[in-house]
Amino acid sequence: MTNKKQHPWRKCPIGEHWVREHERKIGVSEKNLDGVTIVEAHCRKNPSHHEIFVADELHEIAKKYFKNVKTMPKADKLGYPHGNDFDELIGGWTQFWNDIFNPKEPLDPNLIKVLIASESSFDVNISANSTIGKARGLIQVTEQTRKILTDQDGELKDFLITLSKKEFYDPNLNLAAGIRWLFHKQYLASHRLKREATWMEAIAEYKGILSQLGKVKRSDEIMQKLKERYKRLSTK
Amino acid sequence: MKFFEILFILVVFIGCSSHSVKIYNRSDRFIDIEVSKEDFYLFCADIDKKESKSIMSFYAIEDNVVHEFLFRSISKTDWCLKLQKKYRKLTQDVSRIRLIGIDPSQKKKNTLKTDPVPERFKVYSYMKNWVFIRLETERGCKAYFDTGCDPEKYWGGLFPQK
Repeated sequence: MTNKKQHPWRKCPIGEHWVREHERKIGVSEKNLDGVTIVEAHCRKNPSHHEIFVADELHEIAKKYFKNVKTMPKADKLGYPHGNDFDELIGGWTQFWNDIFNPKEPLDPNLIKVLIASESSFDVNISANSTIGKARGLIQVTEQTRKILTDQDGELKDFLITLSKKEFYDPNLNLAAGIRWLFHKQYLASHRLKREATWMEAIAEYKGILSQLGKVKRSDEIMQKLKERYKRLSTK
Repeated sequence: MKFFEILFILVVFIGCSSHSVKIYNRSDRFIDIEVSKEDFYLFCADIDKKESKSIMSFYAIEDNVVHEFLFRSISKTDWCLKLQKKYRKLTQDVSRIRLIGIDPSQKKKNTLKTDPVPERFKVYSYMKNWVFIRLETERGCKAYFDTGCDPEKYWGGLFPQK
């Protein structure tokens, strides 16, 4: 169930999305000798009625609000040199999407941290080929996912994110999109299980192994490592 | 006789070397291990016929432990089989294979008894599971991540990268 009130961190009201400042080509005139005018950043009505996020707004939100985020992941590097580098972004986007989707059990930012460890070892510029296109960045968002996140006629009912392939290597944008996608995976897992999926089951769905849990030893092995790390972050 | 003695010693030495394990680097979270071809295997494991998924996996024997290196993610079986072909090409006509992995599990009982792997991988008591980083032979290198064979990515994320 989404919380359709405007999130206080958003720049635009519901039904509108942020358009960054950009150049527009116009006819050459005395006022515009080079034929280009600057369009100031503004909110634009969204005819699809989806809430849409673009890079500029995602950066604005992180810059303005993430220093005071309520719940941060544990400051434990999990043995990786860059393990704590993204804690603020993890905390911020987890809180944002928890506010938007209002799940019965809020997503714990520690789970995002262990997912990043599993997907990329906290390497921002990493990519891997996969069955569903290239997987990019911290949370290894695939090309197929990138397209779905943008598609106004696709499987997402709302809260789309429009980013370029290159933008997925930006840790802030990658996490904004990846965590939003995880919420969709939780929805799909719940549908599959015919009950509210736990977040660990949502992560299994994210990794494509939900249906294999308890039946396939190597899938269980992957999840076991995740659970051990999560236990470590959950322990005071 | 002396010639045959020397020849005998040489044959035994070469035989032992080709079966020997070389550890280039090891810590509690990292392994860089080279084994002979006989002590290595790779295949698409856990083929799920219903959902057509499987996972790329690699095996190296060291003493009485089978090291298992798994991909970070599962994939469609036809994709995995294409990968299997590419990795097997790298290990064709070579005598030594080098594997790098991170983040091991605890040493546990060998569970390969029911897997379609050569018998010699089933007889060892223990196995240890790693996250696969890359495979190298004299024919080349192939890694999970696109840049995984770059020298600065040697430690697979465990040490500061450039």
